[in-house]
Amino acid sequence: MATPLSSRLPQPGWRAVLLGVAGLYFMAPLIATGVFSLWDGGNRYNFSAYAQLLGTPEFWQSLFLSARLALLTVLLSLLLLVPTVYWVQLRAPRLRPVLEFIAVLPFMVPAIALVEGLSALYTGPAWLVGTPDFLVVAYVILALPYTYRVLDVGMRTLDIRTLGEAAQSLGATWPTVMLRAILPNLAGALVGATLLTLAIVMGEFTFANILLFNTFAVYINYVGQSSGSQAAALSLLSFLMTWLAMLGIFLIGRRGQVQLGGAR
Amino acid sequence: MLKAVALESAHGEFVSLLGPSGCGKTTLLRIVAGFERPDAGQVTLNGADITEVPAERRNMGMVFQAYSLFPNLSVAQNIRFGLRLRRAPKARREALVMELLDMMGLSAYRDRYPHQLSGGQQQRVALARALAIRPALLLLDEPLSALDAQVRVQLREEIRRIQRETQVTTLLVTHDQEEALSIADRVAVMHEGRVVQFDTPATIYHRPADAFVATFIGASTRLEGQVANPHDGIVTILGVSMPATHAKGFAARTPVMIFIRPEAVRLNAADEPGLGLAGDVVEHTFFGATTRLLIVLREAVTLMADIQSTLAEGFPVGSRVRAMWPADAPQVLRS
Repeated sequence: MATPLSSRLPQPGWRAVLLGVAGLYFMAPLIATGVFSLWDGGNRYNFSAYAQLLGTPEFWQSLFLSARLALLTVLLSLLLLVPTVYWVQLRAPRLRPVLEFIAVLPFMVPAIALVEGLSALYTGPAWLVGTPDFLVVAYVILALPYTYRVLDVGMRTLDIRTLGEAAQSLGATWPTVMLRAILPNLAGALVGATLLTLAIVMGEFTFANILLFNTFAVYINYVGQSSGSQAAALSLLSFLMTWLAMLGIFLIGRRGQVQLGGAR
Repeated sequence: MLKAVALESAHGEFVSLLGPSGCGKTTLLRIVAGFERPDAGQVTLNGADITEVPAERRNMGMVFQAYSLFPNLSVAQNIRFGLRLRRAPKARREALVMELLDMMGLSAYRDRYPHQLSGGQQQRVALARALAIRPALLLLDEPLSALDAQVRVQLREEIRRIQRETQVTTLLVTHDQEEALSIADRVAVMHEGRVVQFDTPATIYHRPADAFVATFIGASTRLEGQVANPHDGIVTILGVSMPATHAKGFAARTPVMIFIRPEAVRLNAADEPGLGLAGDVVEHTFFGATTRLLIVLREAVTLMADIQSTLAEGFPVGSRVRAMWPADAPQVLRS
């Protein structure tokens, strides 16, 4: 006879202990980092590391550079992937395994190999290859597994074929179908893809460091080598940004997630 | 794959495409809608060739089998969608939306979202949205198949009422023969990519064009026989002469298939005098008002007979009976 699920779960007392241990495991390093970021030598604790950090022009330059690269990566990723995933689902479902394979390639190829390959292959115009914008090409590839997955799941949940055909029968041309019938209903997936891409780009180090661009992650590494408390403060700020991004996914995703039809 | 399809419907007519799964009826509807292109042949609307016209310019409203409302739009916004694309003046747009909401009994739901509606309500909104653009042709792709039985019957009647009110020419795809026969002015029965019969529901039911239609539509027993007297409409089945008016067009001794509906069969006890096919009752199936009896004739041929349940006790399992039918009841087809 099957055992009821409730009797297989730990008792409430044990649950509290387990949650406490897990919480401590995750929170202890953060608390320690937070305390260290406030340490100003001896017994002094204050916000001087944060103040110095926020007063440094390089901090803002690297942050803005990474933010700009993240936005460009999001734009390019969505421009490339939204029509591609839509087309593959509607017109070429047999190509889906190929797309799946391409999408997991960034997991299999080491970042160092990717950056070497990019340097060797891309001998494009100076306005691209000679500027940090070149990183966008690499970041689109890095973000591909996440953006593809999120968009693929979002479109499969939506039954885009029926929605698209319904809009078409009502007089919508293909651009209108995309803009007014598909994209508004993909809000959750688009926000998810955007925020995941932002998080990846904001934390990416290998590409930027090897190609000698001073992004936010490279700056964190630099500060870490020169000032311990500032590095801790920067790490916490970086965590905070990631948390905000995750919170954004949760809140906007929940609000933007379309509830599909069906008998109640 | 579609092979030989020739359909023409008059203005304001309700036509059903009926057939088993895979017979090509949905493909045909999608070709009419403009979602698929035929390899050969023509689609014409009011005399104009629209074979190459893209779906968005065909002005055909469509209701899909799957729930197809735009999830991010309210009921009223869904209905308004096609009107906005056509840049209809706001006042006219709103008046039309109100009129359709009223017609569908959805006025109280105008600001609700699709996920807040039942399946039947969603399909009503989809119908209103399709009608809002004043379509030249209304296409219904199994719109009731996802609904439960009671809602299906109710919505079926509503669709018929609304179609009569609006007089919009309608093409319905369904595999449910009761639905097709009850709702349509004419039914096109499809089989293996061909339209095998296109006629009124009554003709399809009583005078099926071939063996497929005879067995696909409703229940019937197929018996092998021979035309005995074409002049008087007599056939021989298992050595017994039986009346069949529709045998009159055949030459004597032509081998034929005789299809007889169970409700046309009349039973008598075998010891009573009279003509008919003698057999043994082997099974009773209770349907409520009627009971279906299975009667084994000579050479293990089985005949179905539906009789009033109140009379079924007179023919218990194991009893010997004699089966007869009115002369114009059986359909006679060449073997």
